[in-house]
Amino acid sequence: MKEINIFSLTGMFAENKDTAAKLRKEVIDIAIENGEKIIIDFKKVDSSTQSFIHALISNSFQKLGENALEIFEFKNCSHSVKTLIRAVINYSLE
Amino acid sequence: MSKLHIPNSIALRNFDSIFQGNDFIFDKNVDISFHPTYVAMHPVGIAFYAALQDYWTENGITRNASINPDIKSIPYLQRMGFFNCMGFRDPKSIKSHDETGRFIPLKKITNGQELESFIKTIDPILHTSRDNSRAIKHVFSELIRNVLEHSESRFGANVCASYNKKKKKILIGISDAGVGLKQSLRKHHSIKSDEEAILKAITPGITGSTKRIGGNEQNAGAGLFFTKSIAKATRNHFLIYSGTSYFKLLTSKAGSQIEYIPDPKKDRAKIKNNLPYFHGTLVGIDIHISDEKAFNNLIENIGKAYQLGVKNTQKDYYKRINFT
Repeated sequence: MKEINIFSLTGMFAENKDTAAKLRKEVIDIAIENGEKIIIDFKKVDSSTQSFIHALISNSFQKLGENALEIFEFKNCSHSVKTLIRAVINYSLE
Repeated sequence: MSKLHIPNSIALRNFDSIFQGNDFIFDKNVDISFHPTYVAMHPVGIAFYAALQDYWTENGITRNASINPDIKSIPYLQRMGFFNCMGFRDPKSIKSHDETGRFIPLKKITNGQELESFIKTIDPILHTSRDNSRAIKHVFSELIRNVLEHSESRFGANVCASYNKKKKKILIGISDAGVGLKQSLRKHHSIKSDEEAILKAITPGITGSTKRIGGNEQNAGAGLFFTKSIAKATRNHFLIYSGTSYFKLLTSKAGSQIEYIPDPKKDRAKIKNNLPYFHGTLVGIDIHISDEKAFNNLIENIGKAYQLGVKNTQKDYYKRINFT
């Protein structure tokens, strides 16, 4: 199981897409290859942007389809972050 | 010698005043004149002239200006950084005021780190709380990242804003002197005109990073659609000007139904072509700041519109997403 703490990388407003892309390539993609579950912890993150969440998780949901729902756990999300994750997952799953 | 006239009022409502007596064709020297009695300027105007300044610097164009120092709005323009951005000294000596709670003076942002630092200053500068500044931060982040990723301007993004506390309304201007939307989108899309480029840029699912509708792993092609929709949700203007065209979302009356339409041609908007050529891209937006609930509803609705526009589906996986 791989746990990622977003606040330690972005602070309270998670918007840096480069950070999101780096996490995707260097942590998420590798964990998926290794068959690990992924916990993304948004504790202390107040809000984010659609672009950040997209760069972080959209590719995994597009590639794995609904199976990705079993792999990812989103922990300690504020209402705003939940709304953004829901929007990105809904449009990423075809 | 080429000329640039700065009119007495520039806002999103009357944006066309920026074209009065101007062709934006510049030779080696520009003579700048101001309206003799009053200059009221929305941040979109300040951002626009900052981008012209970048263009002049890039092309070795010099400028002269004369201004009546008794113009009432000079202190505001000075505090917004307008004269400095044009390469001039401030015309007047004024008492320094604390800008906190009123405006964000013009700033150049050239990389992601500067953007991160800038966003951290929004709440303290505008005296907003986290609950009501989420939409503002979202708009700034999406628009500035667009500039950094697509404009190819070495000067980065010109950003400024002013805040009307009584009306709880923030006015934002963001510009660049980069390649413009047409050239940027042409890398992956067949684009014939500036109007087509602007309409494609605000259509959900279209990005300058790939020809694939829906974007790629890095870009969804949703940033400008979300931004335009935030203006629409708060019944305000949104303007985007690049090359010889602009698109301006018009305001709507309180109580009328708000629809998040993927096709920008169906928006209540004004599209103008054959305008003086602007090298780069300019975005102006007015938004009312709102509470967390309003922001969440907004993101939910805009997300649904994006999903419907790009994937033609309304399936909601919310109950199956593992939130703990």
